[in-house]
Amino acid sequence: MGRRWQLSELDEIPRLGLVEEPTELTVLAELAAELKLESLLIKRDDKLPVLHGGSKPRKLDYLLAQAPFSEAPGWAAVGAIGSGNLVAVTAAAERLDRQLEAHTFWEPISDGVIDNLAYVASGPVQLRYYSSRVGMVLRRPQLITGGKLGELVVLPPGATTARSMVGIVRAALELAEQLEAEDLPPPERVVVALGSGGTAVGLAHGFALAGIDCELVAVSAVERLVSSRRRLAAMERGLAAHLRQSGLADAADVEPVAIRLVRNQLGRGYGIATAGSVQACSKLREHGVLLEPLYTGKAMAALLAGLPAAGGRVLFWNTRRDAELPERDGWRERLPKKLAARLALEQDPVRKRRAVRRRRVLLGAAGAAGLTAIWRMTGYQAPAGFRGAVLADWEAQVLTAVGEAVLGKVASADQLAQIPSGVDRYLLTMPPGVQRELHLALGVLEQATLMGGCVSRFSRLPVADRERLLAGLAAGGGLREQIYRAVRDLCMLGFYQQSSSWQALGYEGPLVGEERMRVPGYEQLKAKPGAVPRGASKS
Amino acid sequence: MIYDSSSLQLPLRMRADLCVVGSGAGGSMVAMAAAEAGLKVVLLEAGEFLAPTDMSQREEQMFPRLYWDAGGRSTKDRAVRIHQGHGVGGSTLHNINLCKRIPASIRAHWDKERKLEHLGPAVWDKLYGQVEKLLSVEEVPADRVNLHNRLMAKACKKLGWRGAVLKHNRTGCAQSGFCEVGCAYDGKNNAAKVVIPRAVKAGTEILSLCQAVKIVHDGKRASGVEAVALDARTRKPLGEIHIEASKICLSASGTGTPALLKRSGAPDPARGVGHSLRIHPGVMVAGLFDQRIEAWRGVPQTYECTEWLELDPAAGDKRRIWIVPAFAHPVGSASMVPGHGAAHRRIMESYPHLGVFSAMIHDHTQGSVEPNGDLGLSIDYWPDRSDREQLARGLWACAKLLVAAGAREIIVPTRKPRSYRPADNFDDLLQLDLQRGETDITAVHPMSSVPMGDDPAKAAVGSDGKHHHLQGLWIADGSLFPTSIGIPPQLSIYALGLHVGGKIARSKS
Repeated sequence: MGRRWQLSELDEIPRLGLVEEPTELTVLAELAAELKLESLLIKRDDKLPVLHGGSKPRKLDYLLAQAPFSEAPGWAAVGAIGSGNLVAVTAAAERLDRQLEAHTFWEPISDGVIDNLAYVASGPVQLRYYSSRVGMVLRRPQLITGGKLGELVVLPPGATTARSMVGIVRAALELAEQLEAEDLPPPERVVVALGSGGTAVGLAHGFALAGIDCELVAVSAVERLVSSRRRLAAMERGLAAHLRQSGLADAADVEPVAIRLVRNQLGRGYGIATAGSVQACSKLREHGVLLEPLYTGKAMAALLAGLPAAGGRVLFWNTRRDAELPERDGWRERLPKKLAARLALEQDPVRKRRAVRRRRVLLGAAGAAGLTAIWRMTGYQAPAGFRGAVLADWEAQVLTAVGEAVLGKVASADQLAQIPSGVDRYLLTMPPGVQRELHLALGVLEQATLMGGCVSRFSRLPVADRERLLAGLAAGGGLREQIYRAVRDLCMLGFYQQSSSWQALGYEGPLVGEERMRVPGYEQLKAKPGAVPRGASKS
Repeated sequence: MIYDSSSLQLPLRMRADLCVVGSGAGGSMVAMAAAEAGLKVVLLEAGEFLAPTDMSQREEQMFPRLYWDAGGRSTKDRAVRIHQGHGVGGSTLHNINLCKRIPASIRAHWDKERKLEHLGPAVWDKLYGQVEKLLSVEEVPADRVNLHNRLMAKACKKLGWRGAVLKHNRTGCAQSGFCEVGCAYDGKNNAAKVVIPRAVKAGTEILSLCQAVKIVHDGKRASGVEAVALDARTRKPLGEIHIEASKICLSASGTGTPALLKRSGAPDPARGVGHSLRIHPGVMVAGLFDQRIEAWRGVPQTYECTEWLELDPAAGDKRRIWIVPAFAHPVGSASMVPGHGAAHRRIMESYPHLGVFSAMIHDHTQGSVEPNGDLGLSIDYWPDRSDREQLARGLWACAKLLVAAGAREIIVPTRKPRSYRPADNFDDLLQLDLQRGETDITAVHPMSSVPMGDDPAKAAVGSDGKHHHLQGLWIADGSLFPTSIGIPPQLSIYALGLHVGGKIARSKS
């Protein structure tokens, strides 16, 4: 841990000023004793007195102060029908006098979901509904990739960006000052629900700045795909880059506290309560703390289930919104027809049973197709030790499979296994457009067998069949040949950079080793670390 | 001094008299000339500052550090690879040090066609003299011409074709053969070794890992440059850098300079910026010899065959081929050898016995460059029929030379590789209509994308390097050449840098 940062030092980054006073800390001594913890604190963001509370206003405080969001006449936002994020964004739109287009998709209904939907539907909102997330993304890809929908600027999912995470970093510094003011020892472990990842990443960075040496336990309430460790690492890099760009390079160059990901509380999926999360809500209600079962309930369930080595001082960060939302009449009339119909169906038991039967038949057919898809798209295992910065594990396996086919018996298993790492290092500095093309090329190659009606994907074919497929691509000209050249060249690069491949060529390799020629003249040209160029000033 | 921008406090604002974009042959000379004349100069370079101790002689490590897109830059249809360098010193860090003057006939043609008042043939001669002295340009001594190059000399003699030993700018060369991945022995008299130290000594502040994004201007006058600091590992932007300067010089290469001008919306009433790109496309042919050649050892490209090169514009366009030996280390070689499996391996295992000759053409095709986002660019270029015929003749000529040199098998790396024995007739190569992907076409000399001319109605930039429509803006790199030059351009780009640097230093505005 380096020097301890103060809250005021983040004031260099503009914000709306929505969040001022620290949210209260509740001590749950009885529950701590029951769980055999030294202490249990609850950080009550649910009591945040702005935009109906929760941690979202902390992110919006920074996000909405930044162009293009600050300058737009309105925003488009995305979320499940009962999204807490949409509640906060609706409240912000109302407060800042902006239009809002809310793009929603279905999630299983509960009282909390209905409360949130009622609030959003009653606000200054144009509500749109899609029967699935996938359908929404296909029709409006900008909702995920960002950009504009007409005049409206698209808010990122979960309001999570490098900029908005600064609001969470601020929350961590707020906690540090609060603990000191209340003479409380810092927690050894902080438990938080993991959604888009912004809160976990912001807290991990913020704790490092605040000098709180703890482990952050992030309990995932979303699927692995959207909460992968690689994604969190990328978000951390983005946050550090943003701090650096904002003139806070010292704040960027810290090692965030460790994040432990807990995934065993997700249950059947995002937006679906579990028995554990319902029980956790019930248990905490007895202690005067209200949770909801989809995020915070799952996080608390992990704590109640006894996190491995969870003893000691624990802080639970309650990120849910305030329990009470203002009641408004007539919200159902404002719902899109399809959403209103689905709600009515879900709330009528007889019609729902019939619909379920119909759905089962359809699901049977879809299941067969799905199993084929799963067979083709899962079960990848990257070579031992591979940690790709550019390539995913499945791409590493495809490259190894290409290597085996194009290099033949020349390459040993060890040499083949080294190919993806060598390629990944090389690709790191490639422009994003080229990287995208290579991802696409590997994906097309891996699934190319579908064209011939083959169930096996490329990397599962016997070596001879893989070689034949590649030769066919090479002879095909056009894009097919380009895909062949791309993957062939990458394999050659990954193989022939290995010094173990050189002896057979009669090539002795570099003539210089670690000891290289030092020419003093070059060293003298370099500015000393920390030196500032003449004529320079901070913007 | 030279600063690593990724380590500076960002955002950063700087003031200077002159901001130069690009530190290769052109930009370094501009900075040196202007700083030594007393101007406060800041020089922006998108690549790293690399000393000889950083040169590991490993392709996979040095390509990303020395070349744009890790050496993978290509035209947008991926049909032509274009190798361009970055780093303090630009492409002079990785080039092979070939020094040739643009023939007087081409310079005279430009003078006549483009009315180059400030850059007539006599001015060029004076500039060449100064640059050759500065860079210690000399003909490569006979005992430093390696076997690979001696084979070309032998072939030229046997065929009665014109050929000669080349001039290079080297001092202290260890003959390691690793020139294209940066010299670990400080043997290249390049911009980093010769010019940059003088520029720094005269007060130039160099920001490495700093890529220019836009020129700031109001439509009449340029007043600064917006740039970003880049992460050395990922080359992703880290933060903004703003340079305020009353004088700006772009030396960002034949691709980077037009992309920057277009991204900035610089006035271009003649609509000539980025539309006349030449690149000197090249092809290669391999020969398998009984003897061990070990072509990767020793000084590369010391001998040229000019039998099929006639650069005088009056001589027509039937002989536009410049041929030199070319060779690569294993990664580069493996990607150039066609096919895969046993056929590929057979050639790779003959690596010490391979000789490779490359034919580069003096091209007429006019390609284009467009900016692509804030930091990228997009190149559109495919040789026209006449240039493709020259490339095909280049393949034929290389094959003839390799046979004359003693090769027992000739391998032409077309889509379906062609293999010839010495007694075979190669004339089918002359009829080859090269289509995209038929053979690897590689270029290393993008140029002519902002052709100079003193008539503002026909050109954006004058022969003094000064932009006709934006006061305070100059250009000094290969983009100024009005046409292809048919020979390696580094010497001429150094000369242009010296020329424009002097003009900037003497300019009052």
